[in-house]
Amino acid sequence: MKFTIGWLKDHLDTKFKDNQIIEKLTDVGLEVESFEKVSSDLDNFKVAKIINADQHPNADKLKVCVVDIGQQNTIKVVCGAPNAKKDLLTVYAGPGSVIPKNNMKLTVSKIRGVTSYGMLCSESELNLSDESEGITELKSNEYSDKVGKNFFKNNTEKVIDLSITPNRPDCLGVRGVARDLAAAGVGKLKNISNIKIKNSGPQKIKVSITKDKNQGCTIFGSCLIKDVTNKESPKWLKDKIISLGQKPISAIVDITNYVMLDLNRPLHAYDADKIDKEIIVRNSKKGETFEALDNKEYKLDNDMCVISDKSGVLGLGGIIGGTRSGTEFNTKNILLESAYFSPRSIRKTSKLLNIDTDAKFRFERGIDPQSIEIGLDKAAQLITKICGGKVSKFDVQSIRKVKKNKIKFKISLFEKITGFKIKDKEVIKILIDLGFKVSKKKSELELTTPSWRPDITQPIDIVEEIVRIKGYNNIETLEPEKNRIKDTLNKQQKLFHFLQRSVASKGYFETVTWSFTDSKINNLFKENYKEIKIVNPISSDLDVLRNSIFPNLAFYLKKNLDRGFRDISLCEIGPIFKDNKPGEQLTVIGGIKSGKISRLNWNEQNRLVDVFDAKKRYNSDLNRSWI
Amino acid sequence: MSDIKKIKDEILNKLNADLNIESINQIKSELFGKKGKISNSFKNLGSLPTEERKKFASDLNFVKDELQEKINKKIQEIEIKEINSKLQNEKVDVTLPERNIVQGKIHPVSQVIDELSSIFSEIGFSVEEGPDVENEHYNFTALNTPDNHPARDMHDTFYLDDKKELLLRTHTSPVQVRTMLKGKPPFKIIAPGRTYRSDSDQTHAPMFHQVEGLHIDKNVNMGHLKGCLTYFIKSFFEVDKIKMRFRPSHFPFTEPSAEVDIGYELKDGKIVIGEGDRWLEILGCGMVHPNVLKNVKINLDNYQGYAFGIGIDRLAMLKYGINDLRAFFETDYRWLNHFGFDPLDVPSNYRGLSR
Repeated sequence: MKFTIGWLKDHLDTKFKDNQIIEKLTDVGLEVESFEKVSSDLDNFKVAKIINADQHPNADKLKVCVVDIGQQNTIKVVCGAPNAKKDLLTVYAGPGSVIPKNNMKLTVSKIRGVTSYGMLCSESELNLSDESEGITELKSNEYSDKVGKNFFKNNTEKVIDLSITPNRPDCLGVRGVARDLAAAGVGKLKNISNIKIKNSGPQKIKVSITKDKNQGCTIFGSCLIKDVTNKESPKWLKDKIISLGQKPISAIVDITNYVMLDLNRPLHAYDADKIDKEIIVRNSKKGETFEALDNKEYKLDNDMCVISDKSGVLGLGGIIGGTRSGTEFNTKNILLESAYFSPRSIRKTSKLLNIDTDAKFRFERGIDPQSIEIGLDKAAQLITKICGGKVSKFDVQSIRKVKKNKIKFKISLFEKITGFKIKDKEVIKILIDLGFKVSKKKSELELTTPSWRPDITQPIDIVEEIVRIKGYNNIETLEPEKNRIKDTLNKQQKLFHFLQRSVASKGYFETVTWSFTDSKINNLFKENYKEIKIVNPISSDLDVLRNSIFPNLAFYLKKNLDRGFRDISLCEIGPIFKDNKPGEQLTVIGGIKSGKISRLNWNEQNRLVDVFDAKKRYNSDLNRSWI
Repeated sequence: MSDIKKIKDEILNKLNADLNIESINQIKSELFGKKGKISNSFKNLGSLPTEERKKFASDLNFVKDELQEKINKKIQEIEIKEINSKLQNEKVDVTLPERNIVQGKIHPVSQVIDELSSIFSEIGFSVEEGPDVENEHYNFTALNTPDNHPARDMHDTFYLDDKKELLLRTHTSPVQVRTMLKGKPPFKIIAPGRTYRSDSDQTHAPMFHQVEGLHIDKNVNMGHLKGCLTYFIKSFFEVDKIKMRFRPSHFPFTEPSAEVDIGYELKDGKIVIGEGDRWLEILGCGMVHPNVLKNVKINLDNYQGYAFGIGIDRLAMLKYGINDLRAFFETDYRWLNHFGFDPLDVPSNYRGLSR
């Protein structure tokens, strides 16, 4: 989960410094993986000023520009743009930069005999617009004091990367993170007002959810937005999308992505004119196909949750949309979807088809079923603001009521588990800040859990919420008692320990090798045991569990001989397997020796390892181990 | 009488020469042998008159004693001289190569397991074991990992049958379940052993080692958990002071859950444990989830407790400065020789863990 401090402050009123926020995130259980600038190729693009633009000596349509890029020396760039002229503020890309539009990497090059250091870029080359006639013209009142600075300024904002545990889908949205921080005392969570958008007229496309077996979709909210002009996103929105390492596509797509990252509310936009009459949410039939937005064609099985119209499948609900109904720059009318899909259904379908998308990741962990209309509202507001258009009333179909989850919580459980006490008042405040509805009855709290927390189902979950927000540093460190109720090792474990060190003390290097091995080598040693295949081995030469301790020892002995070592003694103590059931294993110790017992030197004769060395080892150890 | 004197003078003369042991033995037998000069003189004793006999006998005895003493002295002299000359001439060249003694080695993982056993033994834990091959129930379901949990993906688990019933355990936690099912509380165990995940790259091996800890008793709370692990980490790294951080996390089988970080700094590219501003994740732990306790039929009103899981290979890497996890399992003779331990270097409480 990535976001910037600036984005966090859209939801959180705080005076805390960046590093304090970072620390607090980890303290409440939102582990910060990194907090750094996303170094991107875009850092190479600088605001520049043309000092002089002279005619190229050898080409009529080229100019040789002397450019100020905020460094001590100006540089020379050959440029073909008709609008390149003295005093123009524009965007300069140095050698090594990669042009966003065509991924071309710039080098220092000679153009008709004049050396050019980099390039002045058009808006089209920067993916800012389709404008490719001439280089970008920056307004002098905005940029005149920014010569030499990075052009893509938001890229330099540091990005927080959180590792969100699978129980916290709510924190896959910036608002969820802000809420946790506010509860922990880092400022105040800003209100998001209720539905603000002015709706007019009904949503004319009929939506129905069929009552199929294990229907994966239980709520489907939508609104129609008519007469929009889809375009490139404004800079602030692009910057937000880019800062997270994603690629801006179009205003409508960027807005749906933005709302998903902001509120953890996935949305989908359809080109309404491409929908054949109505929307039917149903289970798929085996053999149905559709082309998804990743440009792959998927063949569906029975009972996958699909969004369809009269002509067929439009998309896989909560996983991926289809190309047939996708929005494009010329899209005029859109249908916006905000739905709830069950984690189980999402997981099953995405696994069968092997699709991984951002939406799938979120629905699989559990989306707030109460965020349907808030999501539609926020997206519709942004779309009308940027693309214009008129919004219909929200249509919400649902086949099941959202149940409120209530928990009775004895406050004393907190101390019983954590070993320390906090005031009832503080317990209640933390829970309210996290979004619980609380009513107190003597020493018990009656709680209604927030709809965005599918992970909270029982009293122990409440203990965890309170203690993580209060801080684990409040838990006392109790000295362990030093009394023993049972021997540390049993008889077999003592034997294990003895054999291991006894064999090693006779010149063997103890090794640890995989419990699996190559079936080809294993077959030489397995005797009467059954071959135990691994269904998904890490590689084809580690495909079975070992039936003997020797396959790996022999394999690694050879490897060492190949490395040029002589006179090697290896041993291993560990499991071998008789069958693929729990408990069908033996612990054995095996040794292997190769080369010469002694090499010719001033006082000894050469002697090869022979069977009598093995015999001695075998006898002396077994005698001493009471077998 | 003059005969005696003659013998005496003659012998004394001979003894003054530079003699060796053989020639002196010859002189000895010349005098005291069966037909030696002194013996013969004694034989003549009977033929002498009685008055002479007494004096002759006394003189002869006197000379005999005198010569014997001289000879013994001379023998001693020669022996000392011989020893001295031997010492002079027979020096040992200790710079010659030594005889080849092959020293066996104990693998670092085994050594660390013995260190762990020693540390936890001190505070009353005993060692339990469980099978490497597990079924889906003990590895996941009984540990409150629902069947749609991401950890169950093929990506992470080695399966031994197509129905995904049988697998190689992905952690040592199933030993918790087996231990609690076969006994009655209180429980205070550690369970070191092999664990498996189908993951293989620079920092992951398809097989690695974990130690599980479980303490269930009346009134065992998070304070005890914190105390136990603080004691463990200090003992293991053999330091008095160590920066530690308990931070909230999530595991299906514990709640509340925590991950423990220890402080470290980088000195000349090497990790130094203890102080410093950087944090290193070292283990996961928490209070055993009520669902797990219910699954093994433990009465929640009377018993509760904590569990933890620690990566043994990682501990070994940190303590003994080993950089590459993969090398643990590659059986390179040089590596085993360098990082292995003397088999007689057994970690113990009274001596300390490491040398």
